[in-house]
Amino acid sequence: MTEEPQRESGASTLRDDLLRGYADGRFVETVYACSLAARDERDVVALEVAALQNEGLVDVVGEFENLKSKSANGGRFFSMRRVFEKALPHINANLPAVMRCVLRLYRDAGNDMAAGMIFDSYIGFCTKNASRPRDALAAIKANPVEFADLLTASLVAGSLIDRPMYLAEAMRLCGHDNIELRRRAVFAIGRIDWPTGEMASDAAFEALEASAECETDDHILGSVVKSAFALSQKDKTRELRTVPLIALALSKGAEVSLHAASELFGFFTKELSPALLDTLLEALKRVKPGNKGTLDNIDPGIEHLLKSQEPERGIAFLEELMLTHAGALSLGVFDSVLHHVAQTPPLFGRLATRWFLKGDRVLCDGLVEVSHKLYGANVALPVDPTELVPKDRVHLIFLARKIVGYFVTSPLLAASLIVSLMRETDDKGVLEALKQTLLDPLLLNYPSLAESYLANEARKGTGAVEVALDEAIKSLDAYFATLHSVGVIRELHPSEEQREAHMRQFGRQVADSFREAEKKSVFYGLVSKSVLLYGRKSVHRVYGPGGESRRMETALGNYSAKFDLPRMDNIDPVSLDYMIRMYRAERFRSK
Amino acid sequence: MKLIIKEYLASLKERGELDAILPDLLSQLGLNVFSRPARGTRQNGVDVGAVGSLDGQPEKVYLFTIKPGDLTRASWNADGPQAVRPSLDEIQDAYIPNRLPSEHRDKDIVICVCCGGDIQEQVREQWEGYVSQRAAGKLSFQEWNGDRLAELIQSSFLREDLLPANSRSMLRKSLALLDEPEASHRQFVRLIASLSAIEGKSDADRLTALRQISLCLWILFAWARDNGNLESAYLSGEVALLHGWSIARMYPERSSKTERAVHAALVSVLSTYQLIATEYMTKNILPHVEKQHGLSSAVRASCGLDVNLKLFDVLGRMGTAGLWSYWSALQCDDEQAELRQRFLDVMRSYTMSIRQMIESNPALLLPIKDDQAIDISIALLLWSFCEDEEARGFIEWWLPEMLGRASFAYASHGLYPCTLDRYSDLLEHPKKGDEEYRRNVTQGSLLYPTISLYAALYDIDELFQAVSDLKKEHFQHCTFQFWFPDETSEVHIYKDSDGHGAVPTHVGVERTKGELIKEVLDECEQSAHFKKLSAVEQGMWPIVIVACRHYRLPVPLHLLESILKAKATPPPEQDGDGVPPARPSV
Repeated sequence: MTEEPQRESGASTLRDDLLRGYADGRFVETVYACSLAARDERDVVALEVAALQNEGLVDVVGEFENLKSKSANGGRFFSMRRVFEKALPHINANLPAVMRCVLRLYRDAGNDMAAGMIFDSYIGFCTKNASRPRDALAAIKANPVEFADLLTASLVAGSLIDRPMYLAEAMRLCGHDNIELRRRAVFAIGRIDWPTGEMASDAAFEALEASAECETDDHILGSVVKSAFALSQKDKTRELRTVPLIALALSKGAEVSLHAASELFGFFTKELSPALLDTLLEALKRVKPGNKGTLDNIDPGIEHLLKSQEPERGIAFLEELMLTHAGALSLGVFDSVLHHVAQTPPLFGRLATRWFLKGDRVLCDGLVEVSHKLYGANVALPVDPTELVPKDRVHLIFLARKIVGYFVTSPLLAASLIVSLMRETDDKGVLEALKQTLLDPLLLNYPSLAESYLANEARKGTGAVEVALDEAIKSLDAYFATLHSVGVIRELHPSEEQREAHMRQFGRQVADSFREAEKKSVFYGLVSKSVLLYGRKSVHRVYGPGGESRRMETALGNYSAKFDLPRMDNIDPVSLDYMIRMYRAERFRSK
Repeated sequence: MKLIIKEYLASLKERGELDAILPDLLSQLGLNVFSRPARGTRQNGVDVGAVGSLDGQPEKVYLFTIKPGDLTRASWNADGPQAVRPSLDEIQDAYIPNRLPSEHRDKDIVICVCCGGDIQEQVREQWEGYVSQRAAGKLSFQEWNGDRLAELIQSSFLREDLLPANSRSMLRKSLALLDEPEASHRQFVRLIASLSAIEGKSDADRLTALRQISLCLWILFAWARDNGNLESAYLSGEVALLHGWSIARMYPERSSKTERAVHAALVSVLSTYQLIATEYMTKNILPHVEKQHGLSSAVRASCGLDVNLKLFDVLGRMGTAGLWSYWSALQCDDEQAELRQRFLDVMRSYTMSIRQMIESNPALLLPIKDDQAIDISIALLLWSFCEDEEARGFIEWWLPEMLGRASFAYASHGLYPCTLDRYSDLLEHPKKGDEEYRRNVTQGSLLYPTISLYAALYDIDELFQAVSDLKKEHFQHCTFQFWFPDETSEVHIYKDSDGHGAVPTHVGVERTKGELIKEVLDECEQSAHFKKLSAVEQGMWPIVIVACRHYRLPVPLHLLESILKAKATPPPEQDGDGVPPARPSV
């Protein structure tokens, strides 16, 4: 429920609302409600909040320190915190109180990617008064257990006032006894802002090199990677010094370091030099398949390489990554890659040809995952002839069987790939074998393919392929003519009882899968759900900032999806299953 | 009820249908039937001859000429053996002077034209003119049309005191539900069960019950045929035969009039059952066995399970039909060599059709239920009676393919054979990746030991070893078993009235082929109850097959005994104990 601020007719003001909320012990909730109502003028609310603190009317810092955690507040936590973030740089308040409040709001955000955004506001707060970063630093050093998380932000804030001093402080802290301070200090070196045109100091590099050399802590090594890259970005001439530094840190580091590398690869792919790219790719092969965050970073990096002038580099890395972690990693984790391959038919054709010929299960499964992105795989694609090496009988038939084995539920895709294969051979025997593969299992399982696709292909010319396609269609017709000659044998039909039992079971399956889909749906997490027992449209009211309501109608619509099931799923499911598994399992003998 | 019977009578269209029911009807009316219909030409126009008193009148001779359906202008006086008028002339000119038994020559003679329907108006005048010209002295004519027959049936077979209201109701329901064969069959089973409850009844009551079973089955069959769905009739035919046998088995001799009448009534039930089975096969199955996926598609399945269940069911029926043909061949003596060969040809056509059906419908390469081993066993038994390389070749192909698929399905949590029986449970099978479930639904098996036994019998070493390996690798938890009748089987096997039989567990598929065969032979030796089953003792062993198929009991291995002995030792001479001999020349 959204709590609306109470309003009195005409005379009510924002300040009144906030003060009333404060008096009622609902200050933060009132701030949130006012910010919602203010829509595009939410900064006004933030400034008013700051003003209330500065005028001593409300202990804003104390109120926000008591903000209920993310878990208790749900999605509103960040909206409420956002008001404080905007207000914080304008607030005059006791530093320790602010530090405690900032830390509380940071930690309560958990692992959310937006958790650290409050530090930018804290930096804004600190830079308003030179004493603040200095005092903050002192407090942190005095009580690192409580305040270590504020070290980086405090150093960055200080560097905006006196960069040499705070850089020197950061480098000193890189050798501090307390590991938590060392971690943040190394990280801070990369965050310190360098004016345009000014070179990063050798001292900074030396500090990082020393850390890379001495430290074994994965977090510190990860910070070395990030900071070294940050320094090199400010000064490209330091490339020769940066690459070995990052390589050293990565060679010693583990998951955190690799995550840092994945951030560079994923978010700064364009800025990476070839040498640094090599270094990162080599290290990233070691990524653990369970580290979803790291894989999520790698995903856009690979996508970028695939889109670049040298997609082979991306393909090679992707292949190596998949093969290194076969059984634990699937292509499905790389959503952007999947999407890009699916949207780029030549690339999909190339990968399908190459990976099916390789026959590695993990790669072939990846192709299936791509096919799922192809609007139910209801598209026709050709193989890439340049990948057909060698182009002999064994390889062509092997490839056709792989296509069938993996794309059996995407009949048009499978048929189109096989037809394109047929166009790549002059060997009558191979053509006949491919025709048979097309007929059984594809056409026998999906007879509508004959009309919807193959008939058109057969009309494209008068060559051997078209003749073969025509023969396949005729064989299919003959098969169905034989089936029709059987007629209706009522004695063989399942009983009504059995049909009903099957319908019930099917209904249960559909309902279960619908519930599963609902659970995973992002959409359902964002909206409330209403169940209409009657009628054909829903009516609801939306309230504007002034409390005025607007009536809205939403008509009910039908949504349906169509998919084909292979005919043999009923007639002979075991043979179909067996054939698919055999086709998938076939491999070339290693030489 | 009369309408139902009349409808049934009108639908009896083939020779051998109306004349099959008439003798029973006449017997039930108290007449003594001295001439029954035989295959081939009529006996000078007479289909059925009987003597006795009807409706309190003096004893007369009744000579029937039968015309299925309505009597039309064409059937009244057309060319051909089925025309009525020439038959009537023949009776007067040839039968009465020459063939009428001498003891009846002094009696009044009534020539009856019997038709399931009516004498149509267009021939009514000719019929009446004929009667007025020829009726004289001791010779008279009567019209027995569908109306009269229906009335007689109702007043004799289905009298209120003999067929109570609830039984009539069950028959009506069974007919009304023919479109839902299982429901129709359930009603019919209730009907047959009530008719065959003959504890403490007299011989006459038992005879009447048997005739009522026969008549009810006929009525059901006629209606089912008209309805275009023989399923209920097929299943009901099996039940009628088994319950009929449960009555007839009490009369093993044929010396008394009652015993002969009981035997005749049983033959009538058996004939009807075989007629249904033959029609089922020739109309629905045999023309389509060669068509790729033909029968599978004809199932019009909601899912693969439907095809699997139905096709294995058909397999068992085909095997049973083939075994009946084999049995018929065994009944022929040397003078009937031609007839025997015809039966053997039919048997051969069934074996070939089974092979073609399996080749065209791959669903038959892997059962989903372990008890489908019963249907497989029936088919294998039939094939075993063919002593040729083709049988060996077929078995060498089919069983390894089946085992390969079963092993693959089991290993991949696919559609492996399980012990589940309920359709709704089978729909949920298999539960992917659920190891405990997989063990639970494979705790016992008839299928694998059966495959192993045939592998031993046909020296298919790889297959025998494969079953052994499968047992060691995956099925240590599973009880491999066979089934043998015990001392209670005779009481229960025909009516499925209770559990019976004994199961040797831990069948030695992991030992040698010879040891497995010896183990089975030893158990056959120990378990003599099979040979004491009345159906076996009286030479009607296919009835046991019907019971096994219908009530889902494993086929007794005694039926293979002579073949197994031949495998284990040089073939012994036939001991004439009712068990089929080993592989007659086919």
